[in-house]
Amino acid sequence: MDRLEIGGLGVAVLLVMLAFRVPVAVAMGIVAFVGTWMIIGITGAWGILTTVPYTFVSNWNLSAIPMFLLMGFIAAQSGLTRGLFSEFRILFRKIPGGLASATVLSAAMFSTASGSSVATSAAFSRIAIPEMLRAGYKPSLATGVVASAGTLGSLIPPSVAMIIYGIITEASIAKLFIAGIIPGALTATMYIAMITIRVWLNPSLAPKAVIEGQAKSAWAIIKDVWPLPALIMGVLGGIFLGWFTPTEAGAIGAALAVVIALSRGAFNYNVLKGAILDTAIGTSTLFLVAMAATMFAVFLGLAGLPAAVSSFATTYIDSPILLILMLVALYLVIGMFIDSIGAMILTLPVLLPMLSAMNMDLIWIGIIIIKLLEIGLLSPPVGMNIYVVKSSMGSAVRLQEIFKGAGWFILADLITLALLILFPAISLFLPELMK
Amino acid sequence: MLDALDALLRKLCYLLMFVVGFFILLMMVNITADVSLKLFFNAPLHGTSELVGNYYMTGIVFLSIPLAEVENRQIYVDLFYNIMSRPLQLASLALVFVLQIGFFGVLGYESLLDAFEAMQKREIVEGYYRMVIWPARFMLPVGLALAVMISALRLVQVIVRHSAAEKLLTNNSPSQNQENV
Repeated sequence: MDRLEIGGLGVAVLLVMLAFRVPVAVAMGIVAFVGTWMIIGITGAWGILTTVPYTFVSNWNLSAIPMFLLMGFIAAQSGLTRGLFSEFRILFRKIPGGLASATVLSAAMFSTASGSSVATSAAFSRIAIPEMLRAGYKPSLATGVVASAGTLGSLIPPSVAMIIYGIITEASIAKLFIAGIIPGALTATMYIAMITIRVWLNPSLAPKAVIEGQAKSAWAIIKDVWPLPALIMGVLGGIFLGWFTPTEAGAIGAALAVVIALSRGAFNYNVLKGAILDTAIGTSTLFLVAMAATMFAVFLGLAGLPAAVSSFATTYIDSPILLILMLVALYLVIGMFIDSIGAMILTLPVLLPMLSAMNMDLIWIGIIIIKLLEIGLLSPPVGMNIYVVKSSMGSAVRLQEIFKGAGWFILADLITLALLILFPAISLFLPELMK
Repeated sequence: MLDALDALLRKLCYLLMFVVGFFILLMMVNITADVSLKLFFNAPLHGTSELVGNYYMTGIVFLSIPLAEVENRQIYVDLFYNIMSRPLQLASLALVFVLQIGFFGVLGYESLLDAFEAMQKREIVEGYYRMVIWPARFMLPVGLALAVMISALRLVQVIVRHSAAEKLLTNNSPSQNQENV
């Protein structure tokens, strides 16, 4: 077997293992080890096992991940995210489909703390869907909005996906964070606009809900929910002004979350314990996947697969716009099957030479890729967020209904995506203002 | 017997969390102090990045692997598994644990050899201070060895159709922060 064949075989074995539910990290690690052994011998394979894990964890930029996870878990466990939905539904009470729009806005805020699309959708499935169904909302709208709003998690900073992208492509993570702000807000705005127009045209989708405690002013609402936005603005503001790096911002954010929780009397041993266990598990599983994917990328490199793919592709793809269209097709498909972190680690090393050859802005491309991976979370047949909503709703809602509801949000996403591609300034305006 | 072993390994995983928790909090305080001192007094805490990379992160990542394992929280793809027949699901679980024993085992063995080598060399990093780092290397084999033991226990549980294996067959719900909106 020549190198390329070993590489191709490795990819095939990996897919079979994944189908048998072998954890992503274990499958990639084993294929990488055996494959490297076949290509350069056992000494080289041991060499990779020795160097990758230890050097990987000591990468300073990656240390941002546990700190941002800690910040989010402390915020959630100490109740900083509680009440977002119940407050925002009062704010949106007069707008058609107000409960659905309130879900979008509160999920956007929740996701700044949680950083995970799946966790955001799971949380809102329990709270927002029952309330919308009680108010007589069509199940497709009620479930579709929760599945879709959850995807805001990786586009709105701080975002684990952006940290991983930044490390692989050596693009500035600080700039990626700042670049995500307007596209994230744009996505949420498009969702809310789409909901409002649809319900306005067809009021039977979402009858007007009776909201308790309607007398609250916007000011009173801000007074109740301010700590979380203040925390996030502090963290992102510091990055924007160049006061601290993303890793430092994560640590400061976590410390601030502790201080805020203490000042509200909401910090105790159970909050700390829950936040630490979730941070530990979240960090460890992510790093294991990222580490194994790095070994796998080394193996693919040795097999010469990235070079072969990109030399094949460049004979057909000779303009930036074609390259972007290829990215769209590639990530929409991959995003349906693999989680965003694994997808990026596997594909970016192959794509990077092509992107640099065409002088593409890596910050702009990063935002586009992350947006694409988010859309993948909603697309049939295997959009992960759809299944999260389905698993928490049980037999109350049919799967087709959720896909149908999410279809409208995918449409809104595709418009957003087109805008992001046509007008790079949407992503690049803020980062260009940074020092 | 299996239940007692399960309980013992679980306890060990959670005991390691005291170390991990200590590292997480110390990392937060250490970096925050470093930034604050740098911004306000132009006097950074030297050695912060060396401590983060060699001690805190190594501990957080590797000592938490067994916990993720015992709580069945690794990242996997459920797509085909969900449409498999029950016997096939059991077979695929057995395959998963065999592969995990191999992967964690090989990685753990290699990291143990590295740790001993580092100890013999009395490994240090030269920065602002000379920092001794070889003891941190032993956290890798400790975490990975425990992960191997848990995988082996799970494999036995699947083979003898222990009740814990039944739970593994169905347990795949994401469970973070569901009550906190």
